[in-house]
Amino acid sequence: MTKEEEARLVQAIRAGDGDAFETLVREHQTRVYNLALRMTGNPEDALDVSQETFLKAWRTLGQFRGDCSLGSWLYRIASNLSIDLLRKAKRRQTEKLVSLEDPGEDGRPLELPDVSGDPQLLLERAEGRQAVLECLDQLPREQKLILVLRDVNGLSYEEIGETMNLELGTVKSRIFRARARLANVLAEQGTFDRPTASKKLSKDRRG
Amino acid sequence: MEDHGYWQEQLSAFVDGELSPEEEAELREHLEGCAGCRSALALLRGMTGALASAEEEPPAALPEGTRFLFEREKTDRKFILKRWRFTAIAAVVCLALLGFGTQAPRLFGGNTAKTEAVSAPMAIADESPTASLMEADEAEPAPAEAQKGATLRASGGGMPTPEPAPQAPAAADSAVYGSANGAWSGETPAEDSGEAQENSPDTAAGTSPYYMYSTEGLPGYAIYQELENAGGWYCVCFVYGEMLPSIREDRICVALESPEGQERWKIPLSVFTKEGLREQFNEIYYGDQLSQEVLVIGILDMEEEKWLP
Repeated sequence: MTKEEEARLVQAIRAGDGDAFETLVREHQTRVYNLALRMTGNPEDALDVSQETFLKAWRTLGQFRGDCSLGSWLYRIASNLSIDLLRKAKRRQTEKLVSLEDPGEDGRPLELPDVSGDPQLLLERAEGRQAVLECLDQLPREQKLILVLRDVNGLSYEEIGETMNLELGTVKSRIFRARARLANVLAEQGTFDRPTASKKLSKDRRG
Repeated sequence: MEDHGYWQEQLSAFVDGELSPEEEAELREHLEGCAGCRSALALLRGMTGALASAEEEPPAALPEGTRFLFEREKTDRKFILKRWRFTAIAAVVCLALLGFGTQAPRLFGGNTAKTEAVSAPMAIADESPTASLMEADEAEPAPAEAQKGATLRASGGGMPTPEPAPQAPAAADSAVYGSANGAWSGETPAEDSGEAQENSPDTAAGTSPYYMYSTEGLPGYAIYQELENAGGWYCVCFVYGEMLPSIREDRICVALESPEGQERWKIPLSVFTKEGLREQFNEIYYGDQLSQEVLVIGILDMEEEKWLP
C-alpha cells in the first residue's frame, strides 16, 4: 500500500467507513495475529489481542501522523497489548521461571553456541520448528518480540525500529543478542549437537 | 581469529539482508577462512527459517469479528451522544427546579495550559469561579453567542421553568440528528437568557473561540443554540476509561458535528487542550474550514456512561 493509499484509507476510517476499516484489518491481520499468537502463546488470546489492536487503532487514529508506516503503528499497538496481557497473566499465576536479564549484560558471553554438523537441517524439520518456538517462549518478552517481528513477521530493521522505537544499530544488535540467547536455549535443550557440551547433553537429554 | 562477537552480529544481519554491500563483501571474505562462522551461519539460517515457517493463517473470526465490534462501537457512541444530550438537559432542569444557587459557570478562556485543561473539570468545581472568569475577561471580548451560553448556564437559581423538560430532549436530538434548525427558538431559553444577563452579566466569560465546559450543571440546550447561531462546527469531548486528571491521551474521543445537525466525525484526540483541538482539527481534518467554533462541551466517562465529577 502506498503512502497515498494509506492516507486515503485513514481518512475513510476516520469518517467511520466500515469497509475501509475492514480493508485495514485484512491488510495487516496476518502479521498482527501472528505477532499476538507468538507473544501470548495461544489462539484465543491472539484473536482478542488482534481485534483490540484494530479497534484501538481506530479509536486513536487521530494520533497517527504518518511519520511511520501504518503497519509499524499497528504492530506497536499489538506489541503493547500483548505485553500488557502477559503482565496481567503473570499477576494471576506464577509464570514459569524466565530469566529476564539479557545475556551479555550478566557477564555471560554474548555469542552463538559452537555447533557442529548442520543444524539447519534439523531445524528445518517440523520438530525442529516446534523446538525453536518452545525455546522462543523462554526468552524475555522484548527479545521474543523482536524475533517475532523480524523472523515470523518478516519486518525489515527499519520497520522494527519504528515499531519498537529503536535506532537501526540497536535493532541489529538486539536481534543478534536475542538470537544468541535463543541458540543457547536450543543448545541447552539438546536440539542440536554441541560438541563442547556433548557429555552433559547426553546425560540430561530428554526423549 | 578476530572478534567473534563482531562477526556473529554481522552474520545475523547478513541473514536478514541488512548489510551494506561493503559489509557483505567483507563478511564473505571472512567466511571463506572461518569454519566456526560458517556453522554459525547455518545455525542462524536454521533458526530464522524455522520461525519464518511458523506463520499461521488468522481465523476468519478476526476480520469479521473486528468489523462487527467496529460497527457496534460506532453505534454505541451515537447512542451515548444522544443520551448525553438528554442527561445534560435534564440536569439543568433539575437544578433549576431544586433552586440551586448560581452554579459556577464552568468554562474558561482560550489560554489555558494543558495541565490546567486536564484538571479543569475537577479543579474549577472546587475553586471560586471568579478566578477563571476574571482571567478570561482580560482577554478579548467574547462572541455574543458565547455570552448567551454562559449566562444561561449561570441562571440556575432564578426563574427557569420546568417547561424545557419535555421539549428540550426532542429539540436536542433534532438539532443534531434531524434538520429542524428552528428547534431552539423555544421561549424558555430566551427567558433564561434575559434573566441571567440581568442577574450575573459577569459570567459571560468566553474569551476565545474555544471553550471548555465541565459537565456539571451543563446547559446543553444553550450550547447547542449557541452553536446553531454561530453556524460553525463544534465538538464534544468524551473521556472514557480512566478518570481525570490522570487522563490518558488515547482515552479521549471527540465527536465533531456540523450545526446543520449531521454527525460528521468521531475522532480521537491526542492532546486534551483547546489549542490541541484547534491545531489538530485545522491541520488534519478541515484546513481552514474550521475557523473558530470549536467547543469542548462535555466530558463523559464512556465506560461508566456518566459524567465525570
